[in-house]
Amino acid sequence: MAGIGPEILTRLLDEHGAALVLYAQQWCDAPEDVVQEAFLALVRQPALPENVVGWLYRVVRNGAINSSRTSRRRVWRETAAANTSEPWFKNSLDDRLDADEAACALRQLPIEERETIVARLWGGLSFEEIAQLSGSSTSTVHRWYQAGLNSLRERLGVVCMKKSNRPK
Amino acid sequence: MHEEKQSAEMKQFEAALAALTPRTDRLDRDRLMFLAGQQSVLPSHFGSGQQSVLPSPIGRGTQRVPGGEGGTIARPIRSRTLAWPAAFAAMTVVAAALLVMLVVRPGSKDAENVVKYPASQSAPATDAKETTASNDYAEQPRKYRTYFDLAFLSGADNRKIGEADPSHSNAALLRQILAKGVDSWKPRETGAIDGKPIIARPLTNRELMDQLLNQPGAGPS
Repeated sequence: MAGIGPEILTRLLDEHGAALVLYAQQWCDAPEDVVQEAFLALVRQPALPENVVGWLYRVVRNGAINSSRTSRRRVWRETAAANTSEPWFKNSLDDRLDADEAACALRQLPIEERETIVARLWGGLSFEEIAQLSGSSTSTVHRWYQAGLNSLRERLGVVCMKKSNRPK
Repeated sequence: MHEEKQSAEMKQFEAALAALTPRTDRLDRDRLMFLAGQQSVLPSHFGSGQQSVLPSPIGRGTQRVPGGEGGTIARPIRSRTLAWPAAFAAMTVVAAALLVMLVVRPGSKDAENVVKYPASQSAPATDAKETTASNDYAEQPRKYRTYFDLAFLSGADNRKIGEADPSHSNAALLRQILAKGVDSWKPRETGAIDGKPIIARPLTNRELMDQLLNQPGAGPS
């Protein structure tokens, strides 16, 4: 491969593929396509970007937003993407939080808080990187993160009204 | 104390949330690796802009993947991408050359040739009658000439429209032939060789036939 070897690509896929899909799912309803195109775009790069993970998140974000914008029913699609009944998380042995309830609560957050929490918790990005992604200041991103966590905590205190259809 | 406790609870909640694992089965890993390998063997400028329709990894219809396996890579993409710019440049050059030629071309030297032609003053009702009565153009007065005649006049005739003998003009001959046929074209003897007159027009079919039949030795043997 021109700028990226198969080992690096495999490692990036293993470490960030699922989080990238979850990140893209905040905007569009076909996040797998967006993530796949981002990885292919990475392969086509003549040289490896300096911050590969940040570069991938930026490409995925742009692709997901473009994907949602090209749709005529953009608002409907964003809502549908957020409210899709497809599970976001794997069933966890950790019984502290129910995966479906957490996903349900996450869907109800504003997009800024949702994006920040996903990028921070599952993407492992720093607040500076998230600020660069979203075009906001670090303090704003940090405020979104805290507000989102508080909202999630409050929401998860009650039973989520929207139960997943996933068989357990 | 309360803030510390709240912060600790928040940390615990954050850790519990982070313990949730996003689904990993949504990306078709094998397909992605295949496409990545395919992209890697193409030059970078070949892959850019080349799109083909590929099935979605999860079967949600189709997607656009640059340089996908559904595309035809055999044809050089560089020639395809350069075709339109080259055509555009060529047409621009042609248009610019035509514009320059249009600007710098010399002005027309042809003087305006105004033909003053007296309007027909006689009643047109009598024209047809007189024309049919006397189809000989040479005998017709000049006022009965029409623009039809002018259209067939030569340049010399145009210049001498006032003085030219109508019987010698092309239009007069044409009109005469159209009205009475070729046989009405009376030959004019321009001289004689060995006693045979030289006529100023080609022979008609009938004259040719008569000439052939009258030759000695002609006819059925």
